[in-house]
Amino acid sequence: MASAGVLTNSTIVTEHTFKVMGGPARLVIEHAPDHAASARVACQAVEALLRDLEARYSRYREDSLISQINRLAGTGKLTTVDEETLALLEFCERLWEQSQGLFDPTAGILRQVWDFSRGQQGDVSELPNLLGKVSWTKVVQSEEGIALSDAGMELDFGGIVKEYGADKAAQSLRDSGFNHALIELAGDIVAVGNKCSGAPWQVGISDPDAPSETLVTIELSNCALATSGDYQRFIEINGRRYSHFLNPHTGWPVEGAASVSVISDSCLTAGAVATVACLNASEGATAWLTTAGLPWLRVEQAGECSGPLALAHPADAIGRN
Amino acid sequence: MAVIERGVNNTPSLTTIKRSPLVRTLGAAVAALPAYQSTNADAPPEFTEVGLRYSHYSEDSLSEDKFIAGARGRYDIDVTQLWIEAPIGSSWSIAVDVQNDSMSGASPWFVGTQIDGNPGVIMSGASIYDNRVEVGATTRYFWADGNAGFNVTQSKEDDYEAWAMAFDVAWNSDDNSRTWSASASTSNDKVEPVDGNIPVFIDREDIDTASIYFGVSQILSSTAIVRIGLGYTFSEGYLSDPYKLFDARPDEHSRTALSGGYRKFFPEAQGAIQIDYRYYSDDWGTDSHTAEIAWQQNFDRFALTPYLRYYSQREADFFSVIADLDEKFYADDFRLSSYGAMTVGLRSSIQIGEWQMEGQLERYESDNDWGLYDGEAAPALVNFWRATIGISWRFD
Amino acid sequence: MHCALKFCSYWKNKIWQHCRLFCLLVFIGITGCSSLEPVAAWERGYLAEDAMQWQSSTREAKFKGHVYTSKEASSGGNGAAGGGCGCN
Repeated sequence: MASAGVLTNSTIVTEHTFKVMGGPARLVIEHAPDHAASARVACQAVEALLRDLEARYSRYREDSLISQINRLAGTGKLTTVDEETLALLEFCERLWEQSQGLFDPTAGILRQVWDFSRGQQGDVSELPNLLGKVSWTKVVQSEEGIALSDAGMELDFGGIVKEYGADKAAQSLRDSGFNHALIELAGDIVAVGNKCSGAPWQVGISDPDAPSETLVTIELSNCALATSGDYQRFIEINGRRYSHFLNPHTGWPVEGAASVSVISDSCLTAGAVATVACLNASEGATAWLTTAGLPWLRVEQAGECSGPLALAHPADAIGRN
Repeated sequence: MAVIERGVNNTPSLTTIKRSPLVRTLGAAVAALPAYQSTNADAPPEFTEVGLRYSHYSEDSLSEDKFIAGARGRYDIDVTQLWIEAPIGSSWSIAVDVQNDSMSGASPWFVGTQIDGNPGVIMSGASIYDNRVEVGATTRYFWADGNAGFNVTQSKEDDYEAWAMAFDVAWNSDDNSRTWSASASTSNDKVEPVDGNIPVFIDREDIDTASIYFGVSQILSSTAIVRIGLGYTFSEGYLSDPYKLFDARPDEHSRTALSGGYRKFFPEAQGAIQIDYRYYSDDWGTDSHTAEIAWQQNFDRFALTPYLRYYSQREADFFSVIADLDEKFYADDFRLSSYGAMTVGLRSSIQIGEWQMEGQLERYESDNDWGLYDGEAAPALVNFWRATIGISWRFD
Repeated sequence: MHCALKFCSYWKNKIWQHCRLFCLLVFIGITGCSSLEPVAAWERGYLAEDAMQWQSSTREAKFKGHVYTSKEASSGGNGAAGGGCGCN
């Protein structure tokens, strides 16, 4: 759905909303009035490229590249992959290394034990069996392609594809000559340049407990804000709240933050840093975020905010209970 | 990239953050992904551009106290520039430039002594009219890491014809942060002075010129870029001015120019500072400093650029205010004297859809006292106004 | 051809001094710049601004070069020289 609105005499806004990768997507482009047609075309192109990423990397789609790799797990057959996929795998490798294995794209099968949609714990006795199949080191990569060495293994790019898509969308808009735009893919935001007025884009980080409420407003220009954490999905065990992030070493959910937001020049980097922060318990997360050295905001299960970005929001919101 | 801290305390700005080793490691992997590959790779222009530009150049009349005889009114030149530049396929572009200069006025013929003992200028008699037409064509080839261009230009006047050929190449470093550039050119000029108001003493002479340039520009940050360049030009042939009575110059001239530039954009101000400097030196004993500073202020679709230029040169070895005919080489040409000059100007441009319009006005004044170098003042130093208007149109 | 030979001989003798200075500047510059953070493709928006170009326009550069070269003793600094003209 695309709409255009007049901002000033010389600037108009084209907005395009759609659903992709299981969430809402929103594109906002500010441009000169005579570029309205090309702005609409640029929006269509962004939507198409995001759908293409989804088609290739969604584990929910039978015909995706990921599903194909997963089907061949344990057979020893290699799946040939394109350069973009190779580069994404390379990025996973780096992040796996840097996070000491906390980020592991093969950890998705652990969800078989934990049912977050119902907030219930599954059969924990299954865990040792499943943990045997969770290991990035069992992803075989060669020049001919990639394969998963054990049957039952699954690869999941869920943690990075949306962020990568947001960056790709931004680049696509820049390539089309639009330098004042905002891309939002369900909590991941990329600001392309400033607004036409020269002012930065204002974006809000929403309150995990009340997603329609804004916790912090941040001004972005030519950079990305990624938020990891899903407020609705948590598990309560013995009265303690666990996030939906699963530790690939233990198979248990992480007793960590409700959400972590990170700003970086690319959404992919921001998202990766935020995701690993969520995979760490509190102290580990702070250490990780400090090492990364990027601006961050962490919202605890109980609602407290911490991090450099927390200082940015109005005092009444700090330490909110 | 910047997080702008408006009303925000303690928020680290990304521009001031030194990237951590962790982010750098991830960044290296990020950079390998197609979405982050530089699309600033060299590519032909996306549009065809047609443009027309008109400039009026007008020199002040020679002041009464420096004038002996002839016509006091100096040059007025109307310059019309017309061009078309178009992409051809995905890796070529072509540009054709036509320029017409139509000049009228008198020029200094020689310097003599006035009754009061001060030097004065004898100008060519009545106004001279001349027309120069220059036609040039440039083809350019673009590849992922650079571009190369080839240009042929012909310039023709009643009394002067020049052919020039130039080749230039620019290539970018792997991370596109550094650009090396080199160019080479040769030209052949033929001087065939025509007797007009003043007698000339040659029939037809040649000037051959060869020139090379080498430069490098470096991106310093997301808002700053710097460059330096070194150029060398050698000419031989008839380098004297046939329209000056006392002008005998060496028939070889070797020149070097060392230049530097800096651009810095200030996002909060939506403007950029532009600084350029050149040091020039030649084997006629002249050397010079040129410094230029400008501020381009962007508005919505309008840009305003006030600029200043300072120039100062040392006189050539064989220059004297009144030509010394006992020497092997001599000249009284003010352009070879010691002086300093200032240009003050304002440039503006406005973009309306596919149309771009520009306007520019500048004032140039020169004075012996403004110079950095010693040397007697030439009476014929020039001051001029220049005004330009232009329009160009881009289309697919 | 003759001109080219002369050009080479002068190149050897006269330009050497400047060449050394230039090479030194380039060397210092490159050494100094090697510690710079590379600027990523998506951060180059400002660098692509008109205000950041070396010339305000090709035609202005040509016009300006022409005026100053014919009114001042100096030339160059912006690429290899073009052809001359009889404009004095």
